[in-house]
Amino acid sequence: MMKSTLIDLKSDNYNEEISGFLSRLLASGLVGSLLVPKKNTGGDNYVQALIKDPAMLADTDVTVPVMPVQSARIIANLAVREPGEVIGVVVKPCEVRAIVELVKFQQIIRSAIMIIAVDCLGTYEPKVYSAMVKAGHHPAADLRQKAAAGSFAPLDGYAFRSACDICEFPAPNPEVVDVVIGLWGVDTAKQLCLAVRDELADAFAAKDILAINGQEAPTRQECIDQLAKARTANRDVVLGEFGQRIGSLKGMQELLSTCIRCHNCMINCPICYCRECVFRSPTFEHTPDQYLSWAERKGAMRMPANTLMFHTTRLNHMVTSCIGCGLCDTACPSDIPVMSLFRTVGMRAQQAIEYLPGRSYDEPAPVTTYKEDELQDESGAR
Amino acid sequence: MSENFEPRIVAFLCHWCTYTGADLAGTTRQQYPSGIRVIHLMCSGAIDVVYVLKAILEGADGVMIGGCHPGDCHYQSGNFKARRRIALLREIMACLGMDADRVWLRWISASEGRLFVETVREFSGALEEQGANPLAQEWDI
Ligand code: SF4
Ligand code: SF4
Ligand code: SF4
Repeated sequence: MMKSTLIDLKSDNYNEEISGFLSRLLASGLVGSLLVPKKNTGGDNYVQALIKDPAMLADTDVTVPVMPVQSARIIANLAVREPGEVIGVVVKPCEVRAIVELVKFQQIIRSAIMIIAVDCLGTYEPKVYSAMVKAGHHPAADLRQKAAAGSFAPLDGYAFRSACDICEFPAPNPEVVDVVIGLWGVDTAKQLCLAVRDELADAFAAKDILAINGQEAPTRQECIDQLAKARTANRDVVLGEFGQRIGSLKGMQELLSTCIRCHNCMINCPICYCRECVFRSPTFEHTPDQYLSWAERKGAMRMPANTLMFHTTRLNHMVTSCIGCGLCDTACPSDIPVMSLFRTVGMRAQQAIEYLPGRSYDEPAPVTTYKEDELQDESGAR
Repeated sequence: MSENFEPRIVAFLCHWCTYTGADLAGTTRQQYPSGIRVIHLMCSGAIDVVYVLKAILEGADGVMIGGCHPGDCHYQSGNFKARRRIALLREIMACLGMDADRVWLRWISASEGRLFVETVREFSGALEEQGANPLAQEWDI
């Protein structure tokens, strides 16, 4: 369970107050380092920075509406083995859900990280975000202001990433994280809203990291519920239409028409974690006469071979754990709606097997388990 | 469909049960459709669906996965895991408009040579009705 707190800002600078909290957390030794979105040298983007020196918390913004990489991927590099200290990671809800899956796949040691999860205001593609900044906009401030009233809308003339428009989780699940930074229904010009896991709350109070007063933002849950409801409805429409589109060989051929087989969608996906991937091995590098015999039989053959197989295999290997972050869309140079494909198929597969990825650490990932009495018809039982 | 269409079936059979069952069918000289090509696995749980997909996308008319009856797996639970994987595969095939009935999972023990023969006949008959796998002629995949 969590203890919540709602604190008046001392200054009028939300980011400064949050970095103050993070700085005290770092100084306390409860974490040895922090992974936080920080404005990069170019000034038009925020990237995850692994911070040791509290002075480097300047120019960080936990609310920034851009996600150039899936942090769960980075965290898997930092915490696949015991790192020797606890790393505090500031992440968005879809990143939390990817972390949960990777913990189950033994790619992240849960006790090696402190998950500081932030309500998500939606995100722009990195190139869109950069263009907004260059046009003089303040995307985070704009969205924080709207979020105070529970409204989810991009800046006029810009669009969120398509994954965000159908994301059912505008807030992190408190049961799987350590700290929640609340933004929905919170007036961040005046207040700071946090919730902390019980045991940690005591440590935070004892070390003067954060005052816990038990107060909650009165409308936050209501805002979250409404957003989740609207986006779920939107999801069903969008993915329903998409399901029609891919439901035939011709549909899939049209979808993959411009695929250049760069593997970017795979490399950027947090769930595609295998360190030795069959598609990055010589397994399907055939001999010349093999290709020629296929071309002979069919009259012609798309090269490189196995485009449909690449995508259908990836669907088979990891779609039950797809958390819908849309980083595959961000990665695709050919604008193929990979996320829509994975979410459409993923929803059906996840429903069939009654699994919701990222929900809890205790449910084993579907591909690693089974129930003796399930799926009796699969083996032709009559 | 032409009169003499004989479905080509790729069969992934587990060493301890179905493969031995198929062997028994052979040594006792029982006739079964000749369009079947057997791939020997140590356990049905060792199946990676990438190979099932490869066979289907390259034009095999059907793929059969044979394992031990529930409770009889030599490695305790390989067949249960295979069942999940195949169920998922068939669900995904259906989403993509691929014919999921071209993939069969069946439990056949080492002593069930007759069941093996009957199953292959039944599968081959069903595939004859479905006709040849259209993917065999698709160049753009
Ligand atoms: S998918 Fe959801 S959690 Fe992830 S960035 Fe988009 S809105 Fe935020
Ligand atoms: S398939 Fe795409 S949407 Fe799903 S987890 Fe991977 S990157 Fe995210
Ligand atoms: S990122 Fe796009 S182009 Fe590259 S392999 Fe994936 S779908 Fe194809």
